[in-house]
Amino acid sequence: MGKFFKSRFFFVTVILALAVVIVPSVLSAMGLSNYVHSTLEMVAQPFQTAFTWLGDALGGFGAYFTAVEDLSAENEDLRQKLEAAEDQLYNARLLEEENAWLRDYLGLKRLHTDYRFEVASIIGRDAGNALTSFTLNRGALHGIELGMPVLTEVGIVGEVVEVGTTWCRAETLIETASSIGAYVERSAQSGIVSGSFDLALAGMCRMEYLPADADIRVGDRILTSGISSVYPAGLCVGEVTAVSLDPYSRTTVAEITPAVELDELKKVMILTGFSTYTE
Amino acid sequence: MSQQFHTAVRRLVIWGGVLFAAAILQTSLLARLAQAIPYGAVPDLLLAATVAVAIFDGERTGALAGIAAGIFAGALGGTGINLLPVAYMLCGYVCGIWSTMSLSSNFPSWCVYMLTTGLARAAVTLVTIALSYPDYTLLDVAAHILLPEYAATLLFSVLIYFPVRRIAQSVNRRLRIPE
Repeated sequence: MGKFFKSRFFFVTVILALAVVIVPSVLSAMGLSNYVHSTLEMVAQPFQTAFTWLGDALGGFGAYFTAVEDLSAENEDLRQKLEAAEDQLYNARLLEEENAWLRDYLGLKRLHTDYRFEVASIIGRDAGNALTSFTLNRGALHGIELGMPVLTEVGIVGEVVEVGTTWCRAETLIETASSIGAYVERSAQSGIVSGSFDLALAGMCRMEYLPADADIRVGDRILTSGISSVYPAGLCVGEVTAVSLDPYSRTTVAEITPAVELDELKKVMILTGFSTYTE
Repeated sequence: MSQQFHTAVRRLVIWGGVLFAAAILQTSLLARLAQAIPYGAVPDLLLAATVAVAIFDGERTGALAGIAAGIFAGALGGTGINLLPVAYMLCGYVCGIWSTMSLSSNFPSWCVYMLTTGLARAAVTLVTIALSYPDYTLLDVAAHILLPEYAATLLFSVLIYFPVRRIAQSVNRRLRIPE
């Protein structure tokens, strides 16, 4: 093989190749134009333009799919972030509701320091029974007993009428069987709040056994009197929405709208113990 | 004499066309596609074309093809310091000799030529980078330039081998050049 590298042709081509390397560099350093390069470039330009255009088209085609992949990945990422944000928002709403409820609960607790509460959630409602009873998630294991008052920070809800091991059932104050000693806050006029079927359908109850000349007006607040053993005194029952005279018994009857919005309830407090007076 | 001159001119035109086409493809289409592909590198089709001409038409044609390829690379590729004419010339000359002495012009031999000359091309690239960018690191150059370029050249050289072999068969029949 050595003879090939000693041949005249090899030396000539090596010199030629070196010249091709050196001459353009020298010409370029001298600021002179390289006519060979210029000519080649001029000839090649249309072809280069055409193939570059083709390359752009193919490269753009590839870039399109690259972009689609990137967008798809970004979309998936954003979807996950959105789901996470929605979860956070949902949790924040729950916390907000719970926070508000706990704030009210704390307020009631401060107002009535003698109250002992068991917080319960409504886990069931009696369908078609005009919102007159609830099933709560607290029972005998939690110290719940029959007749314990059920209330919220706004006012009374009803009382426990059935107790299971881990659950109980509460009837609301608009139930026909309920009977609550109450008085008009403004005039201290006493009476009995009880449910009636026709008013229960409208989510209301009535106050009876008021004298014919009782001082009671629409808008008066009705509070528990504490006469019955179920409810402590001073809890809000509701507000008078109508007053009428019963012509047969010659007594005044007032329609009461409960302070608690029974159809909006989610959590309640079961009053497990209280003194006979309040602060 | 006239017949030999006529034959030489035809070979010059044919192989010059092959080299020119390779230079156009390398500096336009493949250069653009290399940008669109991650770790894309421009394959050295001119090297492949030089080697192909060398193994199909002998070491002398291969050496001259190498110089021409270097000129094309310098003219169309626009590199600052162009060492490629010497590198291509040596590759063409050696491969031409190699093909007649030990290897042949079949495809497995072609792979050997490209694996070997690819290393020479990498060496030239490294020297060019070393002269142009003094702050280079060998690892970075190897990972981002040399290896992708080497792999792309090996891969795309197939696009040169089969067409050039076909052309060589046609040229040899027409010009009665012994295969």
